[in-house]
Amino acid sequence: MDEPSEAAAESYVYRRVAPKQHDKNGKVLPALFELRIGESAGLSVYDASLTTPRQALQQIINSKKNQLASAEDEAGGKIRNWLVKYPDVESLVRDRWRVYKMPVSAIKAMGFGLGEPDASGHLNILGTDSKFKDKSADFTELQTTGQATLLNEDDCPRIE
Amino acid sequence: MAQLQRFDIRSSGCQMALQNTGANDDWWKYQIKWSGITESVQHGRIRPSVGQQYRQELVRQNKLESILGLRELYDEINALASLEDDWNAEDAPVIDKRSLHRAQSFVGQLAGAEYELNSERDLPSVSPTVDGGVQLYWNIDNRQLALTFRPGRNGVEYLLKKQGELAQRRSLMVNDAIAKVLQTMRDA
Repeated sequence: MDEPSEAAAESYVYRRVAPKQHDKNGKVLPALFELRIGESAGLSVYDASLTTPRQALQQIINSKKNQLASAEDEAGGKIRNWLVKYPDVESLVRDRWRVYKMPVSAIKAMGFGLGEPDASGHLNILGTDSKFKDKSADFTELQTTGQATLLNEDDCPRIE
Repeated sequence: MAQLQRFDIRSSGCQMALQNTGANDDWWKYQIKWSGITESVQHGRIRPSVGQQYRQELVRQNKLESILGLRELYDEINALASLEDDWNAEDAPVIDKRSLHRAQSFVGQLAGAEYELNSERDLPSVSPTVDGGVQLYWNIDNRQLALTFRPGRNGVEYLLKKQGELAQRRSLMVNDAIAKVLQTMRDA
């Protein structure tokens, strides 16, 4: 008798969502999925098999601390003020930072490739500035169809 | 030639002046000024039926903002001005002031085009873009419409996505973008 084939388990990535990048009804906004002008690396996400939503948000604080080490006076002052305001992940989440969980298969179905993750789980969705603008509403549609989830304030710090 | 008529209404920090053009009463000029917000004077033309409706409603309710639904939207757009460098932790710049004003001006013109911004469904979400622009976004009955005001550009970037279909994206002039918004509302 043939063994039943097992469907490959779905892989996911996390995209960090700043306070102004989702609306008051808990929906992500298309502008979240655009690249900065001249950004060639791709759209920043985290591999969900290598990191957690909490860790993805913690990276923001870690990055600020790294910047502080080499920042000059005025810039250093701004970073210190930021770290006082956001000392931990809980403070980010209170200020409406969130994490958007997306299936890799859906991203690939849009025609994007994915780079390799680094030790922290960070990787990039690869594509041109124009392609991301064209597909920005496709990314938000994943939430409408139930394929993607905006992790709420209860989910973000607790998923370890 | 029709006699010039002018109405000045003040309500909760907002002034609205309505005046017919006097030529043949085809159009009314309107001007809205929000007190306490700089450079927030909007002006345009509206059909006389709308002008009369606004005047009657204002006299009856004395609630300008609830009729036009603009104040909350203006405040949301204005709030983007306080975002600092790196607001998204990915090196996004501060929001371009001219893009802010273009977005506010657009909303004012949309209101003047007989578009009643007085329901949850009609108010767009407002978001900054990573290049320092402003995006207005509607999601109505699985139609997504995004209008983006980018730094250094005069037109409006229009994006329409119906569920299950390919998105359409192109640059439009303001009047065409207004027509697209109205069409999307009617089709929903």
